Amino acid sequence: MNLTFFFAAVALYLIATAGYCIFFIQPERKSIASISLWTTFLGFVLHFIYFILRWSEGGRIPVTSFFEAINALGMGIVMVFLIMELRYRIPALGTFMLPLVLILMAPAAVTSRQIAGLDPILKSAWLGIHTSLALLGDAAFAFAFIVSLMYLLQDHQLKHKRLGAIFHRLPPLDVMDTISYRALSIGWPLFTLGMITGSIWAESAWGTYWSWQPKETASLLVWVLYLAVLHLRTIGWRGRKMAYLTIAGFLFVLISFFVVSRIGVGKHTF
Amino acid sequence: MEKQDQQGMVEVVADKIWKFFSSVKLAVVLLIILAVVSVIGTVIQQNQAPEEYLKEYSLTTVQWFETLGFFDLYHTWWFVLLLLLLTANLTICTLERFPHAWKAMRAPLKPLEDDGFKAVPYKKEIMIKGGMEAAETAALRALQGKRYTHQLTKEQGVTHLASQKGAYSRMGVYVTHVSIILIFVGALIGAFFGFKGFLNLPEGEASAVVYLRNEPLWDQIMDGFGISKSPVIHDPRGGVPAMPLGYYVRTDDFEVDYYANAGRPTGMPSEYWSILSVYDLQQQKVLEKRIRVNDPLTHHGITFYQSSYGTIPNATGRIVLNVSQKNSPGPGETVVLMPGTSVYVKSIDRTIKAAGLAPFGMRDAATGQVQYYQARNEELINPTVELEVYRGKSLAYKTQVMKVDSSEPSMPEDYRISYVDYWGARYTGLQVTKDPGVWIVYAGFIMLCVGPLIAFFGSHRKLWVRIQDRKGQAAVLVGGSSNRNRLAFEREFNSIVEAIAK
Repeated sequence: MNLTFFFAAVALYLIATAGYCIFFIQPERKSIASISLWTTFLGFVLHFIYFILRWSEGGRIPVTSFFEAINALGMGIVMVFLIMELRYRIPALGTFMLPLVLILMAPAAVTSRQIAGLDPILKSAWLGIHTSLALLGDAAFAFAFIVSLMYLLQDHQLKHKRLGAIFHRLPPLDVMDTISYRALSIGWPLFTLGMITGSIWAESAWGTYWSWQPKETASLLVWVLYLAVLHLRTIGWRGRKMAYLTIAGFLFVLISFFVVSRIGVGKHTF
Repeated sequence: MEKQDQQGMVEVVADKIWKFFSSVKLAVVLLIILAVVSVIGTVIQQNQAPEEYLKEYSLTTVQWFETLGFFDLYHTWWFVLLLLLLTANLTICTLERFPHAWKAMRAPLKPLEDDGFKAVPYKKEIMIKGGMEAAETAALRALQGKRYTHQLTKEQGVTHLASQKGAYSRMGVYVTHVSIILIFVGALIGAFFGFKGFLNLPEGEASAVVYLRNEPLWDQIMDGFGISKSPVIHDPRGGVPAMPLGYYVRTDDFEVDYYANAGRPTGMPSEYWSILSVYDLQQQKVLEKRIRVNDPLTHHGITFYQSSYGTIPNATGRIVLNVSQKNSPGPGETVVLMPGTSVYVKSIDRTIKAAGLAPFGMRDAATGQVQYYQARNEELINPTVELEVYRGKSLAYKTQVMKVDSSEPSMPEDYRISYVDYWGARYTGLQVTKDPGVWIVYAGFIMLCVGPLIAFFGSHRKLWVRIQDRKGQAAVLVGGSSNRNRLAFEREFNSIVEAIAK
């Protein structure tokens, strides 16, 4: 029964994606963009209801199995997208963000959706705090990644003097550069909070706030990379170089999320 | 003369070193190197047995990795050097820039002259009909509405309003930098004066030592120089070194609960805990605590974490049973016996024999038959006791009792025997640590939470308003600048200008 909400949410995301694609092809149809935004919002509401229902069914925040992890990540990215879209009003974002959500959530189709028993180590109030902060950080990084991709696309159009359809649908370069940086400067503190809460949790569970487990090391890698990007910004790096670095950073986020978490060492396995 | 030259040289070199360490580029390079190390550390499992590595890599590769320290990256000299360089870089960068930021934060508000207005990134001039007074009131209201602090000056018929907010946000980056230094310092203190150890303590046993994974560096150094003797007890046969606790810790009891599927244990633990007691060296009990995962016991700066458990090979524990009358609600009588032995229970005038004990038995609810399952490492998932009950010397009946039962065991007489515990055959696995640096690390964590939020979400915004009379109308010139998040500032700037114009 609960899964109905999940599938309905995914269906609405699919419809919104289609809407945003139509809008991208025919940008004069502005109403399609706002319908797509509302569809996404409705999808998010259903997605959130599903999350809460699963939470109450399992008696704990649903973030521990692989299915739950990608489900929460997808929901987090949609949330970040909705917030940023409301703030900056760039409908072209939807054309790129929603497909990413669908791709990241695609494994949900084949993975086990059962609610499993919780390892005693995960029975802690930190579970919800640590994972939601880290996931929101990841979601902001995903957003920065998409905007950087759009930046490069726009940059490519400009370089080849193709001032045609795509050019007019994408926001100006400096706007995208600023928004991408903005997303990093929100994502990085959130990710930092995720790492700190994880450390405090590890200290109370194992007596060591840092033990160089693969997931810890991979998170440090992501943290350090974005930190380097943020520092490069202060010495004047902008534009294309930043876009490439932001994209590279997100590739490591993906590796950390989809590979390191699944190699089965430590407590970040799902 | 010569001396001066030398001094000049020293200064030049010192200056160069300072410049080198105060550069953001160096920070980026060091961060990238740290990132590369993290990639290696993620890909290559750390601190495995050599056999494990040989399964994955060729002998030559293993030898290379060994030489480079890739199997224990974080304790290599070059990794420590990397962290030292990073700390030096961070410290010098902070020292170099902090005074300027402090000055910028504390700088008094000053009216902006014409040149200044030319230089600010945002400016706009509007005309207000109500005259100077009305314009001034409107401007003040608009600035206060956005929580700007202001200073008002009037000279030669011109009103200057200088205002700002978020000056504190300039400190965010330094709070962050200091937090990282604190975390490093705390980690160092932990490595020098703390230890990480473990203790596998069987039920009913006590220990005055724990076994070390790493000895406090300070003790090693002091011992090495012959200054003071390390308290660590080294096993001459090369065993694990032991750290005296200064007291005894005893496992009074240990228990595991398992997830149940339709009333039957699945073998997957849902919770496990130990009841630990602390005794001083005079064997007086000091305290007792039930510890579980995520809830440790701390005594004299040493913390005991519930981390694992196991069955002691070939150990014989004690079976604890309860015998109660079926028709009376009393608590019943506790009976303790070893597997294979019998005991006479006076209250029921029967002799109970524990004929056998299995670690994982389960009763089929429909047939009442007991099935026995293989438990890995003899794990006591659902201990099941085969009982023989004798009336005098003759066998009255046989039955089985177990920890979690799917139905009632057969009890033909007017009393009930139930399983309570199988005690003394398991050990609790404790992680034991002492880390006097952890509070410094936590202080660093708090600053690392706050610092980036201040740095990224705050911005030092300045707004200047100049009001001049122009033929009965007030000419209001607004200028503004922000040290970050320009998009948001632009919005605020426009809304303030609008508010003044209203």
